[in-house]
Amino acid sequence: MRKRLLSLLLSASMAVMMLAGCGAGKTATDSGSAATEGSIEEAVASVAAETPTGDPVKIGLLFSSTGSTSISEGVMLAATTLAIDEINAAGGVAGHPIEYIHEDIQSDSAVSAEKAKKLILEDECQILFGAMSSQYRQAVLPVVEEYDAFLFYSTIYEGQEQSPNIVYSASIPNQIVPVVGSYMVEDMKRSKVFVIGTDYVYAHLLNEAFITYLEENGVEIVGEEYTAFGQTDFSSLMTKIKASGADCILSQVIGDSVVAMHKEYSNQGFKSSEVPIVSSALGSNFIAAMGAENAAGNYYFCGVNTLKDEVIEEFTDKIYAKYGDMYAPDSSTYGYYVAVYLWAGAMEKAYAADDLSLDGLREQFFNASYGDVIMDPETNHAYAYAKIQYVEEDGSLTTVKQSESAEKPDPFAY
Amino acid sequence: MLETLISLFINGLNSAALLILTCLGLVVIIGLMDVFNMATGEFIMLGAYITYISSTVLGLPFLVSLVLSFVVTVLVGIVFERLLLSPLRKKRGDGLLLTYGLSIVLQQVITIIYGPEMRYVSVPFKGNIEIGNLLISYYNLFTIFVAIVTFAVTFIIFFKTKLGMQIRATTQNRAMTECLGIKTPMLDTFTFAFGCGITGICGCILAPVRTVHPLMGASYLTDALMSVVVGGVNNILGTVVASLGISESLVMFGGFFNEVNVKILVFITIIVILRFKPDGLFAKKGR
Repeated sequence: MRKRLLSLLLSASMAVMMLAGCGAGKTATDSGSAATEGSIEEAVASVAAETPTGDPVKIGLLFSSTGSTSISEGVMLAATTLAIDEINAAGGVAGHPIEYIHEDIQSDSAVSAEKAKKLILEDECQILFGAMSSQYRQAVLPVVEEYDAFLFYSTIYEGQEQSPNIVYSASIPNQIVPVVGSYMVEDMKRSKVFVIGTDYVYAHLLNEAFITYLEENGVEIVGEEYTAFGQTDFSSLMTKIKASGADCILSQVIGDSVVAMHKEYSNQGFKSSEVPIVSSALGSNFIAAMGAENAAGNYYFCGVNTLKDEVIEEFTDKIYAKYGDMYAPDSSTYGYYVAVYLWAGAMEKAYAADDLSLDGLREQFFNASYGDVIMDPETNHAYAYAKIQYVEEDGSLTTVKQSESAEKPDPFAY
Repeated sequence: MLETLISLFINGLNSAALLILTCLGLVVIIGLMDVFNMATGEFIMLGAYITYISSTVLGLPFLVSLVLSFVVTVLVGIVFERLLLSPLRKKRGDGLLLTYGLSIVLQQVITIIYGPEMRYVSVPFKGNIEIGNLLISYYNLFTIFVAIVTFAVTFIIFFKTKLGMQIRATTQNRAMTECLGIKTPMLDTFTFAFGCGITGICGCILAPVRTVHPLMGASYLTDALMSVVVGGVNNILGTVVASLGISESLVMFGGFFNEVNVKILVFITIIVILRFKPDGLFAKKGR
């Protein structure tokens, strides 16, 4: 009996592990009905300063509070609600207070689709924010298209998509690859690159774009490897990289694997002066978690919505002021904060034009702009920037190259 | 080529050491109590957080963190076993659910206190032994050393002491052992707490080289479960051999082929093994 029980358990958890290779790494966490946070009251309470008078406008937030990606999503949710609270405190959207309902998508694409449907049909939210990873977005896409809703998606992703119901406000490969690739070739003078990533669509497609660019510029790709979600043992991979004779590692490894990977890199005696890592996941939260000694000398690249450091700083200060050191916000988290303002601005115009029809909203959303974020109505994506930063000895980031101007989005460039 | 092979072999030993530390706690508990401790991953996490608090926040030496990780997880184990697990001792399935519940509670408590962010623990013994191009870090050697010592201590307690003899007797026939006047509930508490303590040590050893966050435990549970089942469920030595075999094959083959494919291949091999030897490779006969 016991053995049968154990065998069952083993097969179940092995199936989960295998599935993790193609989907999100699911953990043993399960959350129940507590998913919807009663923050509406809080939000409405904070409006007191300039009470909006109109009917509330409802929006749904799709972020994981449990599961493997909840580590990165907590801060995104915090950034989103910060913007909502600010807008409410300033009088709401054209006098309408924003009511938000948060659903825990449990780091699971199927749950993302389910919760999106619930928010649209039961809670009557036409606008959704979040679904921060490609697999979640792709699960939510058919739902928003079927029920005439919109998703504001503001994570850097791989492109190759253009839905009339998704407002893509973060960077895509054609805005990132030339900036980062040219720095690797011209400034770092790398000639043998080993390409690694977590085994999912974003890493594969972004790496493909990079490989195309690097090979065109005479760089030899000495290896390409993908690791499972949540992998923490990087010893084989690092040995493999060492044996390949690479002089640079281009990494699209994401999530908690990043810290384990950098620690193993140091453990195996790699030196960032000889074989630096150029990584899409080396923001301040990762540097804090792995320690400056394991990050220094490597490079972090990201797509950003603004090149103005003072704007990002103002935003991160607000997060620290509200949440203490609970979260480590950075320029990529800013994307979620600014997305809410982008939507609110467009929504005000829609109210002013008195056209809340699907086409009316579409017209406003895809022509919206806020700060340095300007939507491109041809592609439904935003004009955006990229920058590559160097990790200093003390763990701080110094920008070494950035886009000269906002690049027009082209989701199908690679 | 030879260097790569040796390097991979040593990395494999290091992974095996970590896996053995994860499994040992699990296997001693299953052996005696028939409880599969689903909170094993969370005890690892607890050990890692205790290390974070003592070595990063309070700046205590790493060896103190190692002792603290053991002591605190043992205490948590005692409290949990006495208050919740022992009343359910006769219902086997309930122990599984209960420890699963405990795993969620532990995750959420740590999340509430420390937030979801990853935490930093520095590597205590920096530096490497260099032999030609071959590099072996001191910390890897330390990990292997701790695993060997922990295994030896466990082995001695269970096979060379009177207490161990009583525990093994209970494993074989609980009712008869009770008839002979041995207090089996006390043995349960000891074994569960000791198992939790080993797992705490494992968390402490993992903290400097892996990622410390509230959900870190889950990824270690599957591999541990695999070794325990392949090794023969309540066979301490079998688990060690299985851990070595699984880790070495994952790391060595992973050094030459795609790691995800290697993992799938190893899983399939295990399924085939269990098909023909459902009690594991080293199942004890006569039970």
